[in-house]
Amino acid sequence: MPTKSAHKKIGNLKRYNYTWCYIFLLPTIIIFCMFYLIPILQVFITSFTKWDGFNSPKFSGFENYINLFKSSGFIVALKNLLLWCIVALFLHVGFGTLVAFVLYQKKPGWKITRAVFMIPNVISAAAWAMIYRFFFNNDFGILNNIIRIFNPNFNVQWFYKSPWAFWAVTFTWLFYAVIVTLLVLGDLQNISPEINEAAIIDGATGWQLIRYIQLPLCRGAIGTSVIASLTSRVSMYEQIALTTAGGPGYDTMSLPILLVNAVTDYRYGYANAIGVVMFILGLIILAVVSKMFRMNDSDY
Amino acid sequence: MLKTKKVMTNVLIYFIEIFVIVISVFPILWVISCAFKTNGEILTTPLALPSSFSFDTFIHLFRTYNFPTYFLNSLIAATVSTLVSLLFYAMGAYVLAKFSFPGRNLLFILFTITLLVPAHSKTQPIFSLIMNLGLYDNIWGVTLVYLSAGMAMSIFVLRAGFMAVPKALDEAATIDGAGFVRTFWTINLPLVKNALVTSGILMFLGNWNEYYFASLLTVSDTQRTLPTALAFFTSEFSYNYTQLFAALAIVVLPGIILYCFAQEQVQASVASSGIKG
Amino acid sequence: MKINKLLALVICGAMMLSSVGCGKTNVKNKDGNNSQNGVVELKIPSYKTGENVGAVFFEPQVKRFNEKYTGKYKITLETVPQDNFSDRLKQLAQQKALPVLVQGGDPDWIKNVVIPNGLAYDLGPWINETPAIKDVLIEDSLKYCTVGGKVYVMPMATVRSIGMFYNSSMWKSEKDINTLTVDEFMTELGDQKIAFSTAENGWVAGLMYTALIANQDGGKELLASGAQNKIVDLNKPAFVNAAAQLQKMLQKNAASNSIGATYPDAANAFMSKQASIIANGPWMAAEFEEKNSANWSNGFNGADIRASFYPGGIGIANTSTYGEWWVSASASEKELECAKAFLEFIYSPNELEAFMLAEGGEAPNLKYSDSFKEKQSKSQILFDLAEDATSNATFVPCFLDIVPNSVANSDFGRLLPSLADGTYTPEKFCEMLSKAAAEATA
Repeated sequence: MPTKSAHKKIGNLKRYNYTWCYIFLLPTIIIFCMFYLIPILQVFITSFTKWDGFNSPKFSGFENYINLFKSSGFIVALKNLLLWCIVALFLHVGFGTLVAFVLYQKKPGWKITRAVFMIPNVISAAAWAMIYRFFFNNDFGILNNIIRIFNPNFNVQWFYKSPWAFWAVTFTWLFYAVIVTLLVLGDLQNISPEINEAAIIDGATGWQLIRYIQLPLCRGAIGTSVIASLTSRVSMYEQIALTTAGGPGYDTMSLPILLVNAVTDYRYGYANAIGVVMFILGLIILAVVSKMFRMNDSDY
Repeated sequence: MLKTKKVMTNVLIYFIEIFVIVISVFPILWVISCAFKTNGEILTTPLALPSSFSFDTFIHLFRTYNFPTYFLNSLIAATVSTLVSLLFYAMGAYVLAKFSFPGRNLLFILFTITLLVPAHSKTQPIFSLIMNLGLYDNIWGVTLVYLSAGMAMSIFVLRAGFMAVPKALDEAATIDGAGFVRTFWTINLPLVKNALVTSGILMFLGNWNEYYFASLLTVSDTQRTLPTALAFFTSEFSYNYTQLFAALAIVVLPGIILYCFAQEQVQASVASSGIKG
Repeated sequence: MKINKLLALVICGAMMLSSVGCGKTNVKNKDGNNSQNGVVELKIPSYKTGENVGAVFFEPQVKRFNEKYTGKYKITLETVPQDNFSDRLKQLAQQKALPVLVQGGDPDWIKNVVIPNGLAYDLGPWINETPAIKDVLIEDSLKYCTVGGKVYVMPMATVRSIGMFYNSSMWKSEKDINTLTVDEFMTELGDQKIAFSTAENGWVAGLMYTALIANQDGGKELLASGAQNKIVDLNKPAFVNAAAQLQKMLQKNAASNSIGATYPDAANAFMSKQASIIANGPWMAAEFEEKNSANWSNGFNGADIRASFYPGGIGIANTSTYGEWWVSASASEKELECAKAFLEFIYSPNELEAFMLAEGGEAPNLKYSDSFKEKQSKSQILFDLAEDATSNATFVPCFLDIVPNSVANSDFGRLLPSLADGTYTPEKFCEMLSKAAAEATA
């Protein structure tokens, strides 16, 4: 039975903690206010206006949103996003997790593998676009030249022919899952050796160990990876702009391409309506994934 | 039977390791090899090795441009911003992970959507902020902007890290008389080294390669960063791919070397802490 | 903790490098534009510096100006990258920190922000007082730059019309190309290859498309009208028929790397004899000079290259547009003096002629000097173009300039591959373009 004074003490502690909580959050809040608050407010407010970016915006209600929903690219962009999210969820995060488990076995070469996996992240998008144009080029690209060894009459412009273009664009990011790998590997390394040993003593085979012990314990890392990779799909721009520009037709259209096009036409209100849609999608992803991976409750 | 299974597993493991190494190393080797080729070679036989090795392009670049200064500027901006923001975001992520207080969810949501703020809407406020602080054309202005760059991702990664630290440890520390700051600094922080390293590396490499704000906020040669220097080779009608790739190599290689070096050093100190379970 | 050690190492390294770096850099003085000794100094951020193609002519030109006015005026160039140059100007304008002399900027921005908000200085009175300048200006451009009787942007004196280049060692036309019709041209062409680019904004393909449109009935008028108001309806017969011809060219005559090619890919196809024709502006002539031969391959020789206008005597040029320079309204008297001296300098006959020799172009209102004519005739390409420009040429603005920006920058290039491979009929192609244009202006 806690005494009255103990209650008071906990209450004090709580208030004391509140103060500390806000003190700890202060630097982040300041940075947020300095760099993000105005842009976020501006995006929300001007999405309901007609605005060219210079002169004062004119209120136009939901006009931008209505135009957006009616436009030819929007529905395709959403459909593409959904498909890319599914691919990211299963294949991209799946591959990153697989690599993490491979590295966790600490077979020779694991350190170098871990180190070099980061390199692709450092190379600029422009250089990547060139690499991929060479890879997928019909005439002298590696891929088609390999295929032509088996089928000499093979001719496909991967980036410019439906339905291949979608998959060619997907391929540009599919295997580069170093963030997933690092996050999951970090969680794996945090598992105390006793747990693994205990499981092995209990007769768990390698597969069972992974399935029932290790995988559930990296739930948080996998959830974080899923959110990170899905939100990158929402904001994916350069991989598309520098290869297919959203084509052929609207095959690889994405929200950021529509947004940048609107900006080049000085339709900032419309562009910001697309920005709001992206915010909302991001929040949906955050909510759904957090729920799916029970990320808000700690294991301990 | 068991043995073949083990062999199979090993084959699979090595296959995946080799696959990852190939897809990761190939592009950078390609970039470097292109720095030695002529334009024609790059565009027509992109995969062949260069016909001759000449360092003329590199020498020309180093003579014409002040790469040591750019390198130093990049190093200052990326390192300082990463270390400072790592501390800030670790503090933020710590309380977001471990305490419940009014406004917690709202703040978390706000910090997360910073990832999706369109670049065009950030330009004007940031430019005006840096101007008003008198930091235009100053590498510290760029550094300040970089503080904000990794917010969403770092908060995310670090929050997940802190959530994995057992609450029992905090309680034990409190009973031992440790205050709020000490519980954070001496108990929790060492246990999330992995998350710190991961988000630190991501922020560092992101800032090391950042181009747009670095070029917008600086003018003079003494304040320039490496990626801004690179931009001079990619303008619309410039056609010198050899120089482009040489410049790219000069920008990218130090980043990779720094990263590999840091990775070894840091990982060594992150010997598996075994906090789970 | 090891992290401390790492940090120490990084800082040590940084310090070592800084000593190396400081040895090389001389610290620039950062005070304002007016410096000591009565010299008026202007600092201009410019992308025509360093590696940029424009630097080859512009940097020495500024040097000549500084030499001419030693002790009086001085212009210092600040090297900035080209690709966000207009962003930088917009931001500087918002912070009221524009340079005195402003080089370029986004035309839409100049029209909608700079002029209405009085950011630019009225050059009108000065131009009227200075006949040497006024006489060389192109009338259309002067008209375009004049708003409410005030001249906010320095009008153009030279115009560079865009034609095409061909490799005479691979292909020669029996008759002058610019007297042919499109059909005759295609027959003459046979199986010869044309270098196209469809990636980015499809620049090279866009030029050829412009020429084909201009050869259609009413095409010239359509293009000309687009220079005033952007065209949204592209379903008109001139556009559709030209698209059909472009489709035929892309299928029969396109160099093998055309689909998905960027400008450098197309240029390389031409400079490695994978194609005998490329459409591009006269500035490309520099690539065919011996000193740039490192980019040539497969027996390509720059001396073989000839230039021509398009069939039907079409040259692509737009004179109803802004010139390159304007002056900030916030400039002081002394700064204005210096800025005017600079403009007067670069618009002087000698400098205009030097510019045209370096980067091509014509100055319709300038009486050329004999030495200029002689030098121009020595450059085969400039001579070819000058010859075509004086005969019965028609000038039209580029297709990419008469449609909404997003259509030119993104949609045109996005839809081209489908036209090329036959997925779209010419009608469908134009319908898709129209739809994109309509949405872009909604």
